[in-house]
Amino acid sequence: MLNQPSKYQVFIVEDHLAMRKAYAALIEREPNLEICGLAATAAEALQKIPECKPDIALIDVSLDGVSGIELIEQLQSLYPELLTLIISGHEESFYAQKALQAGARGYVMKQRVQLISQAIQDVLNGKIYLSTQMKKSIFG
Amino acid sequence: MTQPTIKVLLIEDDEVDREATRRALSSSYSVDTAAMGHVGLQAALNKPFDVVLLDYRLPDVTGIDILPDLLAQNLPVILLTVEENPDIIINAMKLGAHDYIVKRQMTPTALDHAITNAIEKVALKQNIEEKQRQVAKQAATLEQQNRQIRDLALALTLAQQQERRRIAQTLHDNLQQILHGLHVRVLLLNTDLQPEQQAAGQAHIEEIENLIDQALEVVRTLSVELSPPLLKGDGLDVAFAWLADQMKQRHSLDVNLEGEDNCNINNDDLRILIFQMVRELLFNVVKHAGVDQAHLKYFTEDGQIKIQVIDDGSGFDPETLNNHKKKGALGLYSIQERLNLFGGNLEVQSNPGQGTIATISISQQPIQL
Repeated sequence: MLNQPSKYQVFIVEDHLAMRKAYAALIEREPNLEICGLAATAAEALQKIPECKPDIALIDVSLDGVSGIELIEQLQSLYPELLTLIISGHEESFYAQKALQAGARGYVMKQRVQLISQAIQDVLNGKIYLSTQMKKSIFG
Repeated sequence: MTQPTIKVLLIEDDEVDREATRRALSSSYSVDTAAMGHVGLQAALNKPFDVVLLDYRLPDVTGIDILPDLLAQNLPVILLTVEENPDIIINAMKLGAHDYIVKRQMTPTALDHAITNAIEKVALKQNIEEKQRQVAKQAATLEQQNRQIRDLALALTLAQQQERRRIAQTLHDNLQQILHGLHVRVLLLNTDLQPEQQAAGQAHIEEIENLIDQALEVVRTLSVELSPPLLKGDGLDVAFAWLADQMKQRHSLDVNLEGEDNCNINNDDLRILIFQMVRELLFNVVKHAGVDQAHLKYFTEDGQIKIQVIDDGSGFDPETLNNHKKKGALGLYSIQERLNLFGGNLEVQSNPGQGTIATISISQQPIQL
């Protein structure tokens, strides 16, 4: 039996079921990515993440109760190695800077479906993922 | 029907005068007499009279001494004096006596006239007092109704605010997510197709993606217009920075921000209302000022948060704000009314050709919502 190269473990935090399933289907298409867990709320994420030890967490900014940005702050203090990427239906200009300050390694808008996989790959490769416009606005 | 007999209390110590006066009245009036001041006062307290004839000089007191107590019973009082002494008469009238008669000039006609006048005066005074009481009562009722209307308007504004947030939330949390999900599925469907199928379906898939994008844009715009996506605890600086960005992107208006860091409104409902008012003021610049630049300043002054939207545009005569039917005036009037509900104020300084400064003022500790 051939040794399969190990895949990056991806965790998804998204409160809408249809979106959780859609992201999971999208990510499973990537040969080097594997879904290790799904959560609808920050509390559920905090409970499951220690068990499945993901490499990267894809987190919706708008969650019921604790927001995605607050969740990232908590995850950063608990698991500094965990990479986090915000996925949001809101304009980048509103939350991207906050997300980066909280410790996220990128911000991808839900409208840019075709860029989600690329954003995950970039963050896993040690890059910060933002739109060109936002990069310019934040980093000059 | 006969008129009820008028009851007169005559307080007079001089027996001759007393008897003469009583006789002069007896044909038309029912007369009780008292020879001492205190006896007369007691009689007035114990029995209902229509009028009191009060001699000035009494053995125990002067008529002036018991005058206030008699007047307190709402009784018309006519002072009887021996001579026409202006000091006594003026003092008595000042204290509230209704008339005076000098005894040596007393005739049945003069008495009759004085009694009728005094009774009428008191009746008129009581009537006026009753009317005043009614007016005061109506004013209190109106005031209470005003308070109720104000409370209802406040509740309505907040309910409208919450309803807008609820609809915006539903649009964002459900419809928008479903459309995003659909978008992802179309992308996946495309990758699942064989190359020849992809070629055949490409035009359709592109059109579906295009339609989903359009639907998302409509939903997102509506959701943001209904309620801005402010996070709990976000300050005015964050909200206004986002607003400035929106005004630039969607309306090509450059908004220069100038604000104090600690300037914030803690109540979420009020913060969103203020945000929406500032947005309306910026829309006014876009629609009416004829410029592509505005200044948005926010600072604290005398315990108040002040937010100014300033432009160097075409300006207008602020008097036109009083005409609500005039284009644009209703919007500003509505902002003013809503601010008033929260104890705030809108001040507009403008002149034709000289730009506009609209200043929102609201207490840092607004009224309890």
